[in-house]
Amino acid sequence: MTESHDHNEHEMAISLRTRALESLLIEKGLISADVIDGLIDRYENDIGPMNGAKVVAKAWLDAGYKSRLLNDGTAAIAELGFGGRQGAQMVVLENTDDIHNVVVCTLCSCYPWPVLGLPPSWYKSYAYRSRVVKEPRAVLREFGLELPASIQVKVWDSNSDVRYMVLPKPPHGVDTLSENEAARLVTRDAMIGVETLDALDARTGHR
Amino acid sequence: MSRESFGGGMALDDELPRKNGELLFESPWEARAFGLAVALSEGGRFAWRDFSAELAESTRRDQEAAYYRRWLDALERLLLAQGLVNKEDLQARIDELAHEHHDHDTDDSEIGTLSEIRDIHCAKDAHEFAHSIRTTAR
Repeated sequence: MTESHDHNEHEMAISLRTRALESLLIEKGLISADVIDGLIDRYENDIGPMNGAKVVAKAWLDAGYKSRLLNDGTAAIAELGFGGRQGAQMVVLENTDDIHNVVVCTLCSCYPWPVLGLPPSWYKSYAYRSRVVKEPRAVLREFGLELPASIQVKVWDSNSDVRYMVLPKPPHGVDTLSENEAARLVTRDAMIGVETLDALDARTGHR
Repeated sequence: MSRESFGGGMALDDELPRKNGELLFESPWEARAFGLAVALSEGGRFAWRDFSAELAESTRRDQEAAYYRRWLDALERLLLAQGLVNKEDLQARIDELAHEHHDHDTDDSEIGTLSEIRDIHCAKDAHEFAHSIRTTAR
């Protein structure tokens, strides 16, 4: 039996299990297929890192918002209309000249959905979950990010109660941009903490 | 570990998250399993915290299992524990669906509702299916 045959059979089995669960729950009136369709559509189309990018851009350009964001992430993010119904508290971590923050969830791949959407597959991988806590600098180097020894690296392990998002250091000259223009420079990876943006030239978007 | 970048700056509302260079869901069942758990929780059928705890338990059991496999295991355990679904009903429904699929497969009429069935080149006996499912569901 080939590996791909095994894989297909496994996929088929798990897909039948999922269908069986869904059909039983629909039959019991606990859920409707439309609600599930709507949810999937929402996460595929409306919720994603563009939400977090707006939060970051506003914090870069509006000092009052930034201080509210760092004090109470959940409330400040809700100001822009983003919020989860999963009830987790949002904590925003500011990268500075001295501190670089990185986010992981070693236990269950928790992720700040309302601002970043669903996690990329490397975030959910065993390699990332198990290694970034033990050897963050080595992992960041594999992402192409070499940090000077003078910068302290802090790794934050999310859980069901607290979700973290990184506020990256702004690119040079960002204060000449509008919030929309600034938001275009923000990447998902920078908000997880595996990329930096401060070497960018805000006006050209180039390093 | 590979990194998917947005390729030099991300456009705002006109750019969908699935265009990040990465699919959100690798197969349709992953999307259904995702939507099921979130919809049940949002509908007040269980607390998200309880689901998270089961997801962590799945991870403890098998650190390296793929995310949505851990996810579905967690959902199934939670639904069984809360009595929203019972084990016999679930197994019976799995068997039914496997037979249904088998019928589709052998009379070659139309492909079942599962799009991923198209990828299976080797027609399987329904009983063998049901057996393998029972093994994985355990």
